[in-house]
Amino acid sequence: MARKLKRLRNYSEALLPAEHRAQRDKLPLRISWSTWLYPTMIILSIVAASLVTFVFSGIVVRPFLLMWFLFVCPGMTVVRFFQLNEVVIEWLLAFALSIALDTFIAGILLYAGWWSPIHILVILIGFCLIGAIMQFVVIYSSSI
Amino acid sequence: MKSTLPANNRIPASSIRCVTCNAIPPSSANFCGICGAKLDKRVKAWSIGSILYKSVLVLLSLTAFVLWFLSLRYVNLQHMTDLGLVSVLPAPSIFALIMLVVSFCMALHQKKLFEPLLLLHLLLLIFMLYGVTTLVEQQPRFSIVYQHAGITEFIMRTGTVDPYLEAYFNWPGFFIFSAFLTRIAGYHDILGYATWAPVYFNLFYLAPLYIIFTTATTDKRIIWLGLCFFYLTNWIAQDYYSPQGLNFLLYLLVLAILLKWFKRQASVTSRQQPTMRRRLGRLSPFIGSIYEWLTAPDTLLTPVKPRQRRTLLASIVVIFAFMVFSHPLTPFFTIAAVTALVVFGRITPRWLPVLMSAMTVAWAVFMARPYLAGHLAAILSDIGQLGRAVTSNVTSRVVAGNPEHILISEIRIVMTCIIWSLACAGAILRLRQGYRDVNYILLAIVPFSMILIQSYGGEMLLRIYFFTLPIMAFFAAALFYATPAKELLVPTKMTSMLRAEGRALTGTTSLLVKVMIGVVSVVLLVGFLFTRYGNERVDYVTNAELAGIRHLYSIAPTGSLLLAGWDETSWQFQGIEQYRYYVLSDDTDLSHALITKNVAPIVQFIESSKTPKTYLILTRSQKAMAQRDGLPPDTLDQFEHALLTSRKFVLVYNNIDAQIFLFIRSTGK
Repeated sequence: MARKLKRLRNYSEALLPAEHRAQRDKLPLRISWSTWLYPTMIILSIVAASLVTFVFSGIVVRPFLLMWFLFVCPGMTVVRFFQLNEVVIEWLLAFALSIALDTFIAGILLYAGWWSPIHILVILIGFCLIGAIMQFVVIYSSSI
Repeated sequence: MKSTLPANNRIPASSIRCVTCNAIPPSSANFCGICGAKLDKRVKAWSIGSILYKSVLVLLSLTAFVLWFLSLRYVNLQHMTDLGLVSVLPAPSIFALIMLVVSFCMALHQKKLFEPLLLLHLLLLIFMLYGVTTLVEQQPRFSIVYQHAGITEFIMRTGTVDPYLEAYFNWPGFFIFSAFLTRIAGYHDILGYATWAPVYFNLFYLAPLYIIFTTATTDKRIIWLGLCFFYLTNWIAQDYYSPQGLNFLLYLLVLAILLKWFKRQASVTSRQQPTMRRRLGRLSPFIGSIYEWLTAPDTLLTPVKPRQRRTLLASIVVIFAFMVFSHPLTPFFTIAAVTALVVFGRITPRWLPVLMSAMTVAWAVFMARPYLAGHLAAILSDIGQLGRAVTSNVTSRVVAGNPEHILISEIRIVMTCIIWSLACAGAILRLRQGYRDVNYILLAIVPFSMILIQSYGGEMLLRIYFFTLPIMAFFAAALFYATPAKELLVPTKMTSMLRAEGRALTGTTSLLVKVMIGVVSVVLLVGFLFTRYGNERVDYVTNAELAGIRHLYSIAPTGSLLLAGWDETSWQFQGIEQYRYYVLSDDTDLSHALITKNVAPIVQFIESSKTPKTYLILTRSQKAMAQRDGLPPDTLDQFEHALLTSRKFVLVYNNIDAQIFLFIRSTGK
């Protein structure tokens, strides 16, 4: 049903006159369950990544949870502000930007002579935390 | 203008769907407003027949997968010849692959295209084509992966990069990320997850390829067949755990974003076009018409808000910065593609290639200076040397090696010619039918310009093949579905803009074309098994080989000279700066000494090196490589015997696939 509605929306998007599109684009953010989902997912990922790194470091799922966090969260923190409404592109961009951000932070610390994977992770966690909180703020201010 | 749309801008859903482009038109429509195809209202979304047909195809694909998986138990790598993996693949596994491809072709020709079914086929195909080596082999394939493991290990251990030690450290982005990921995820080295790289890289390529193809056509059949062709012809094997494997994904993503959201609007191009066309037309009518074709407004524009446009551009710049940081070659392919699109007015903004070039030059000048200082003369001497580039890229690859390897090289050339010919025919056909594929033709042509700049150690043509493959696969698929571009029958604002994309009104394909698609797909599949895995006897690494090399590191003191008899040794995965590495076959005299079993020149070389200890290692991969290069099969075995009888070497480790010799220095001196 959701896919049908999305196709219908794309179809109507193509037929919508430009002036209507411009008016619609000025409207505030449309709030749906998925709008809340992403910052919640980022917060939960931060909690999981922190737990498996600092508390249960010997746990079997550690590589998977950390890979999930490193490959998705930093990018998704940024991409959600783009409001692309294209799931595939959003996830692809999140993946690409996550790798780029992870590498830039790691690279800066390495060239500065402060190489420490734990510190890199802490910076990324902080970045994602701020981004997720900002997403909540934007959603909350749009919903009132 | 008063809109005729309902107040909420929504059109009621209908139970029918366009068989060509899968759009859901309003229930009252007779023609699809997106692609112009006539709507067949007799085709119901979920009739009993279609459910049964889909179920059969799902079962067929899953049966093929199970059959393939079970048959892999009978693969015996020790019996492999220089024809590669295909020489040991059981017949049922090849039959299963053919079954899957045929099932995909059947799914492609349902009256109502069901994309999840096609996706299932493609996912299984990717796993079966690219995951087979991981399942049947003991360790990650390719000796270069072990070198990448060593670069990563250096960063993990020292927390620095040394641009003077290895060229990789001049573009270290990928390895810095690897080092961080490996350490933080709790792995010892990259080998644990690098082995699955071909599978996950190819899975990741799927999404940007799909987006690129959807910017070119609304015909889903071309899109899915193009995707299938891409995976059946991606034999270049640049998708192992490497910077280029990841950077190719980013290259595709940048192109996908630019082609989807940054095409120039019709209103922008039409202002200057008539004047310029008139001026050029006065010079030559042909040039005028070429100009008109090149600058014609694009179809299939995706609406984008200015804010989204800015953020997407910022994303492209960030992603490109990572490319510049992590690979020397991919930024040049990206700049070439973006420049061509900008120069011919296909995309905006115009400053993007300038910024990309500035970033690349800045990195080369400030960060990759150690590499440039040592290689600048060689790089500059390569520019414009087309003859030398062709010799190193094609001729030397085809004539070198034993007869089986030469056959593999010839099959690769034939398969390349087949996909390029199909693409060329497809592009010409679409051109004649009235489609304006300027963007895609530019993207297919521009990478070839790179061979004028660099031979890239004889690999440039392979890279060009890789970077042009997505577009070639698209045009090859379009050959089977190209139908005249027609004026759309429902003239709306959007459809008049999309008129060049008008598809066949019936959306049906003749039986002959269906059979042709099946035959071509199976030919490409069989060719793939030879082209992709033709060097597998050399490329695979056994547990015994790796155990031998690990033992070497455990006994060799720091500063030792480590010698390999021939190429393709899976070493350097630890302590790359702590040892001196040398391959005897890299030196003409030493290589000749090895072939003639004359140990004296090798002893002389070792004694002149003045290292505390010297170890010589011979492995299964080296023997396979020497044999592939045309030497008799027992050359390295006889050399091994010569080493022992010379009394200058003593065997300190021996297993089925690796032998380590310690050089005994003469005490008299």
